[in-house]
Amino acid sequence: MQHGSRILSISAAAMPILACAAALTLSAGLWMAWSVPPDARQGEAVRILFVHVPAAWTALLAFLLMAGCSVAVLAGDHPMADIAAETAAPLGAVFTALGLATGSIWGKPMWGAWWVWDGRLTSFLLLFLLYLGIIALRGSFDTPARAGRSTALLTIVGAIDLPVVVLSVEWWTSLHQGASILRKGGSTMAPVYLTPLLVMAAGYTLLFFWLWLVRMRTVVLARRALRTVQEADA
Amino acid sequence: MSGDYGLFVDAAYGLSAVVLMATAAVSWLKYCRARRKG
Repeated sequence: MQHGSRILSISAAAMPILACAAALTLSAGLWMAWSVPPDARQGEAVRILFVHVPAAWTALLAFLLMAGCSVAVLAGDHPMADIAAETAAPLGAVFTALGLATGSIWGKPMWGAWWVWDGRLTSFLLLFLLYLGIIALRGSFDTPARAGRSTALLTIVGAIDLPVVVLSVEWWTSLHQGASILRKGGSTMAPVYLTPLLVMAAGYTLLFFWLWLVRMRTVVLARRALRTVQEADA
Repeated sequence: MSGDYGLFVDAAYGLSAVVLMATAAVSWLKYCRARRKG
């Protein structure tokens, strides 16, 4: 079987389904997000959470998936795992940047500051810098094979930041609110706000997987075209 | 939208929409180019 054939056949079937599911879920989520009543304390600003939290969750998910792919790269030198890690990094950086920006936009009216150097915000900023570092490191190599192993190592080391982001609000005194959804004893968020948040999170996740498949197909096709040219030249 | 903090809400949703749509558009265009070459 030609290199990357399996991902091409799987993604050909999955991409239209993911695209439709993402569009429908995001449409439903946006309609729900704009239909909820203003919060008693946050007012209309509560609606920002429906785009901020899913962006942050997707950013963490993308890095977790990259770390899993990186383990596969180092353990088995698997070329598809390397392509998966390579293509997830720019997407993760975009979702992290969105999480930082929308969090900042929420922080100004709620905290009176665009930014504070507390544990959650700083560790999430570090996640963004890790994404940029991984992208830059990969770009500094000439061959994909050498780039793959180096970036895999950096990704696995960088994954230490993931539990720090999640647990930072428990470890240190933080202006950022503590865990209110994924916590022992269940969510403390009112269902009227929790439902649109979870729907939007599902929409962001579906969108991420669609984008990931699109980018993986792009890299597989580009490398095939390059190989064809090299074989023709030889 | 109107009301308290409406400008911040509009900014957050506007920024998210622009960034995500731009990411999707760039990814799709790159994919179309690779498909033509491949």
